[in-house]
Amino acid sequence: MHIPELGGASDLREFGDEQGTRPAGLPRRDCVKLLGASAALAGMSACVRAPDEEILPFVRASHNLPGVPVHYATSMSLDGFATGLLVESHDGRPTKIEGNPEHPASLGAAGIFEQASVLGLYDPHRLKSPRLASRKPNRPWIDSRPSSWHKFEQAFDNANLPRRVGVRGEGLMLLLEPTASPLTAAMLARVRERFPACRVHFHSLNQNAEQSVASLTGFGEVVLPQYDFRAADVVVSLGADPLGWGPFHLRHAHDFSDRRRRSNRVRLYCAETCPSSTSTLADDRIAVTPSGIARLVAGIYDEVARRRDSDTGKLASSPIDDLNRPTANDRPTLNEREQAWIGRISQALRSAPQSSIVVCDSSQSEAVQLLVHAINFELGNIGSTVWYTRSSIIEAGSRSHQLSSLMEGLGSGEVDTLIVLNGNPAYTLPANADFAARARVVNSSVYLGQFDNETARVSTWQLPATHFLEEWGIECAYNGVQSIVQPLISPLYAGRSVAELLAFIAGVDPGKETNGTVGSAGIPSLGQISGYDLVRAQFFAANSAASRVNSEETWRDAVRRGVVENFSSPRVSVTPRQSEVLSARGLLHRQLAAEAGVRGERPKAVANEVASVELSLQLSRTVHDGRFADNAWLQELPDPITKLTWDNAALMAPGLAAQLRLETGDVATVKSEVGSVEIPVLIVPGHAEDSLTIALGYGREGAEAIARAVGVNANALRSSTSGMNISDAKVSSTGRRVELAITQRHWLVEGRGESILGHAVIARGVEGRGVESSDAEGSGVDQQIGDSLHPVSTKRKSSRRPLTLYEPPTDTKVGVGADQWAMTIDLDQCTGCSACVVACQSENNIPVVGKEDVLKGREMHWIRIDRYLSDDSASRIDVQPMLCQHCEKAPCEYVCPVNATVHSDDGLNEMVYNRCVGTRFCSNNCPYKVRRFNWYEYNGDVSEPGKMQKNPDVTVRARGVMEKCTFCIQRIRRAQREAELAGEPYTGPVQTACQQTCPSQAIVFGSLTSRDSEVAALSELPRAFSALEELGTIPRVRYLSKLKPEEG
Amino acid sequence: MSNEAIAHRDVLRVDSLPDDGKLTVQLLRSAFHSSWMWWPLFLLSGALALLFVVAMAVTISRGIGSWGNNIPVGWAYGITDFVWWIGIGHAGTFISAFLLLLGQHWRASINRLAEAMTIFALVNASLFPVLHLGRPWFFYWLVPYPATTGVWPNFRSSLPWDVAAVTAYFLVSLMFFYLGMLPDLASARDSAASRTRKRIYGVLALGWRGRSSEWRHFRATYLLLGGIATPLVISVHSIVSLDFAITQLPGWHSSIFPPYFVVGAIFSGLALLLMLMLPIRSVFRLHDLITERHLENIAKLMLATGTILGYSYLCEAFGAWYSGDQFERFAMLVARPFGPYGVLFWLMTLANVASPQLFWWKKMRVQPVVLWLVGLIVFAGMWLERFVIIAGSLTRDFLPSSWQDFVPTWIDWSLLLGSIGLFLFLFLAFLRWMPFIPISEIKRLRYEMVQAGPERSA
Repeated sequence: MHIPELGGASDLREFGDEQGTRPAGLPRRDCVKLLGASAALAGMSACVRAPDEEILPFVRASHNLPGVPVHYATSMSLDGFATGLLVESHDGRPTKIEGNPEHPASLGAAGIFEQASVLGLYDPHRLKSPRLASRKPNRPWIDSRPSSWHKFEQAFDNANLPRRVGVRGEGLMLLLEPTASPLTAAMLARVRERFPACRVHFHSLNQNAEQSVASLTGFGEVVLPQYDFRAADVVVSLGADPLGWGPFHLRHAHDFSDRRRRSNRVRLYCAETCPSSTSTLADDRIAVTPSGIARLVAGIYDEVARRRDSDTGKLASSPIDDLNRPTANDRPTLNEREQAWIGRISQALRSAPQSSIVVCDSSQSEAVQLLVHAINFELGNIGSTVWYTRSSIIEAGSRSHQLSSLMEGLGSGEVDTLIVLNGNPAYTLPANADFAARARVVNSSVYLGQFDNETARVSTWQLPATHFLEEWGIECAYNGVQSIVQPLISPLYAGRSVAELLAFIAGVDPGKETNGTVGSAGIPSLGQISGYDLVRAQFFAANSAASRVNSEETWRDAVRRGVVENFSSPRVSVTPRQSEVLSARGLLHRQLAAEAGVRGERPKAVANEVASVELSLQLSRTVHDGRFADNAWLQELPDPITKLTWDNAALMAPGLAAQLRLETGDVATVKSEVGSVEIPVLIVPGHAEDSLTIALGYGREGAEAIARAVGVNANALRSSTSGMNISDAKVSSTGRRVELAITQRHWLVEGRGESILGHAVIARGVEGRGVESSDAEGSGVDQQIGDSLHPVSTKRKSSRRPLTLYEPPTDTKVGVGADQWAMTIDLDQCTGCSACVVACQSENNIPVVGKEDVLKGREMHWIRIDRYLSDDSASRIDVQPMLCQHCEKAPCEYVCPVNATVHSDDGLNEMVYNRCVGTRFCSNNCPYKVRRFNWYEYNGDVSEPGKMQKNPDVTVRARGVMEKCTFCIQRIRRAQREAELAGEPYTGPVQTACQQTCPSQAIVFGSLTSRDSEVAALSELPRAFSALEELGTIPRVRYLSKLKPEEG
Repeated sequence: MSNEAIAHRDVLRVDSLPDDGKLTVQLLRSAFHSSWMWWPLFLLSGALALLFVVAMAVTISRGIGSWGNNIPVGWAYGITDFVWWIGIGHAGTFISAFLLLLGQHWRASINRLAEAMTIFALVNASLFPVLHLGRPWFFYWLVPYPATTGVWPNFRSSLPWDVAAVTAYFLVSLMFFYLGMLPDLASARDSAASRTRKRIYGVLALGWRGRSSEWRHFRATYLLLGGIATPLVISVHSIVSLDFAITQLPGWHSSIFPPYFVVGAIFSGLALLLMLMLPIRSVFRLHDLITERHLENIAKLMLATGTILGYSYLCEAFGAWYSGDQFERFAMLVARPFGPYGVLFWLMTLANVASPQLFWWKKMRVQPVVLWLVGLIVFAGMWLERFVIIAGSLTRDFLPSSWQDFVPTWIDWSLLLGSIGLFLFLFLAFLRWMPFIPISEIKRLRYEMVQAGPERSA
């Protein structure tokens, strides 16, 4: 080769002729492409476990992109009633549960149970396959070994079931949880077609049988009271917790705060044994024992009835006057405090004719319930703020809901086959019912449940049940609105739903029937039964029955939206039967007089260090009746008031504790007629004297590793005849001590109320202090809105920015530059329900740390609910959601030695996890102490299925780094990115997880610079303030102070 | 000369000292022969040091969770131990450099001990800030170096300055210590019996021959290093105090911290010096070298610093009250004296302010047992002071909702006791193998005093 060739040769090639041709076969680039694609796809197929049937996203999308979350509507049923939900799904993994804005029980909010249930889906302790008991007589528990559905079907031998249980099914007993599901109702009807004489029972801890019976007595039918808090000016809660508990509490909280936002005269009165979420908003609360609540109800009824008499002038015409004109003799013995409270209540109720609501504790006796109905009736509320619908709970008020008939049936010896569908009766039935012994007597027992729990361990067959995110169903809300349950994921552990099992026992397959193959197939096997077909059949059948449009489109619409169109219980027009009311009143008075007599005889003081008290059992506010006891989020969620985690305790007033010389953490013995427990004491200021409150749902003994041995099982104190309120319990000290994992140990605000809570001087209901100083009385709602939004503070006038020499770090002028994120939290609306805490936990991959570390003060919640008392009397309980305040002059930022926490241009205090070395200097200098530290590798022991819950948009933090609220920066950035991709300027709105789920809508988030920004308007209100404003940190979180209760 | 001589008079008991050669042999004796009580002490401290290693291993492998820290108490034993040890490290340089510049010749007999104490205290002190990190393997991110990330330390924070100050102090102290030891190492080389020892001391002595030019350079360098070290005595603990003073936590947020901390540091260092020096004086019969004059001077210094500390405590309380700030007032006037660590506060006040008041009496100043006990009390009291300030303030801050107490774990205790073990281990090793009395300086001082002698008698 000579040199000239280099320049001249046109065909010069790097290689010779033979090497220059393309190699045959797969080209290198294509090979790499295929390698990459197959690696990526292999990963994807491993993750996706979508259900086989078609599920429909809430927001219609043309296509699903990997990595882009999709929301599906579904609903979760608790205590029989459904709450509509939207579930966020990342590539087939449900990761977060939010409220369905179209569902009446949710209106976009979700409670703690609904939200935490996504963790329950991935619970590694769930039953993974059917298990068969291997009986060993000497063991307290029956051991079991893994089996399969096939073996179960063989052993159960459904075709020959009539031979065992009788042709009419006398020997068959079904035990369900009370439910309003029309699908379950239909399937039960099918079972009864096959076995007309089978026994069906309903049981749960939260059955509210008294409520149903009272309504049956008072109205002649079982009705459910419906409340419209949007129309109520005066709300009186007698032992109830309408804004924090119950099937419709999200809706109630939403409506109540809606009303409060519009009018500054809405007043809330609470009488209760133990402080509740609702009472944190109360203008006037009184602590009374459960029997005291009954006394108050009787007292209020008498006041109301007497006033009605004097108002109408019908002095001799009313039966009240003839029979029960309240006289000094038969009036309940109210003390001065109670008398005064009733006086104030009556005055308030009088000031709000037809626009008040009186609600009471559903565990109170039938007489009390009935009197409350009567009070609402006397006040003219029925038809305006209160109305009734027929109860949609299956067989509500009938014998099948009564404990006695269940015990009778089980004890009769006639039951051959017991089938328990969900629930955990072995735990939730009272101790003296001894379910375990009775269940062992039956020939064969089948338990369909999610866990190997107490009930599973006394059953012959343990069958894995589906989680609601894995099943098809139809549920019914408290007001009768029906919704479709659609699965987000195919069953993780081969579970079957209640409806499927019922259909199996019924021996028919309604899904096939609609396809025209009636009965021809004989008894179908479980494999032939599909929940999807059952739901569709039920949906179309109900539609036809109601002569509505029956098309595929209506089905798809119902599935997509999660709500069945035009389906709610109609109002029933009922009035309480006067004679029943009067006899209830008489009964109550006699009971109270008798009790007062007993109480009078009993030495009031503590004798021999044993106190005789009333005991109020209530479902745990965090693990319900124990069904969520294996859910670590809920175990570690502080109780809204006591801030207790990982335990239950005997709650008592400081006075009683002092008498017994008990401190928080001392173990006391609590004895009732039927049993006794040893339980640690927790002193709760504001608790009623002479009474104890103990949460049920703890002391579980199943195979659920998290639930086991947490707390004490207080069911041992209940008998099958006593309700949740036990009138005579003995409490004494054991002398032992344990540590209670309480996240906030200090109750008093230590005189810092103004600085922390903005204890304002603005009072509720004061007229004529609006901006325009026009009288609000005659000018309608608009004026009222203005009135409450812009009340003039007489003392505090705090601008958003304190006087400072320095320029603001970012420009917050409207329309300039980047968005400036900010948040307001209205303390006049926050109930401390803690839904935001769970929302944050599931959105932001916040780990649980366990009891040991909570004891050490290492809980990781990015948002917490602080609770304060102004003084020992607990006349006022304040709650305050506390999260990173995103200070413009953040004290954490300047002390970080490695620039791991810095400020963003849009006003966020950012945390750079991978730069953090973990000096904790930032936390020391944070006046709000909202920073959390990864003391251990908390994410190291997340179970394999548990990992599927993690939000892929949020970093899972490693050991040794700080973390804290980010204002859900992943949501902000996603919104901005999407706007950028769409080529439009970003307009929002972005919702943080806490804001999104807040039932009271107390949290408002947005940009200060965007026009018409709600957050900007709210943060300039006179009652807006920053926590610890005097430190000059200029937080981007502003609180709106609670209004001061009305004087007098 | 005469004034200086008078000042020297009772610094050495010149008359009872042997001649130079014998003095050298006598003072090097300890380096060549072990005493019967050395081994048990050495092994005991070694065992404690091992505990330190175990506790460190647990901390690094499992996480800071093995300590008792929490939110709000982000700093507790770890930083308390750090500040305490670094404070102790101040006495050495104070005695050797500060007093050198001030011409206080009495320092000669004890400066080597004090310097060794400084070095070993600093070894401990420098371990804790690294250990207390959530991710200790990234401790170097606090050092300004041109990282590829382009991220520098945050110079507004006091922690990078801490690193700089402690590192500088450690290096200068080490140089000062080593330089001062050179002539004595050479003496050890020359008097060592075995070849191995000769080799080792020979290498350590860096070829010191004792020429006059060497002495000239030595004196100049020594004085120069003293000049450099002296401001560091002031700066290091001032910067350490800024770890607290720059925050806004009530109980930390205080502008008197720098002088207050420096004084406290010297105070605690003198206390430990007393505790080490008195047994050494008695065991090695060094009464001729470490005289009552030394004891008295240290006692007087402790009386002064202890009283200043008491004044600082008062100032803190007064400042809090005078500020009118409710959080400050609560922290200083309620939580600190009467809160969960109130007992510790009063113990600390008793130990640090009351106990040195004994030294108003000369009898007490020269009584070794009293001195040793007061040293011990102050040694513990100063640890308490740091704990009360650091952890105590964190337990009761602005929002009552976040109030939480701190309970130490066995790891916390192991790190504290283990660091004492490591210190003793190193110190005993130093006593055993190194010339712990500055022989050359003693000889020089004696020479000066003898020279001054006739003049005085004349």
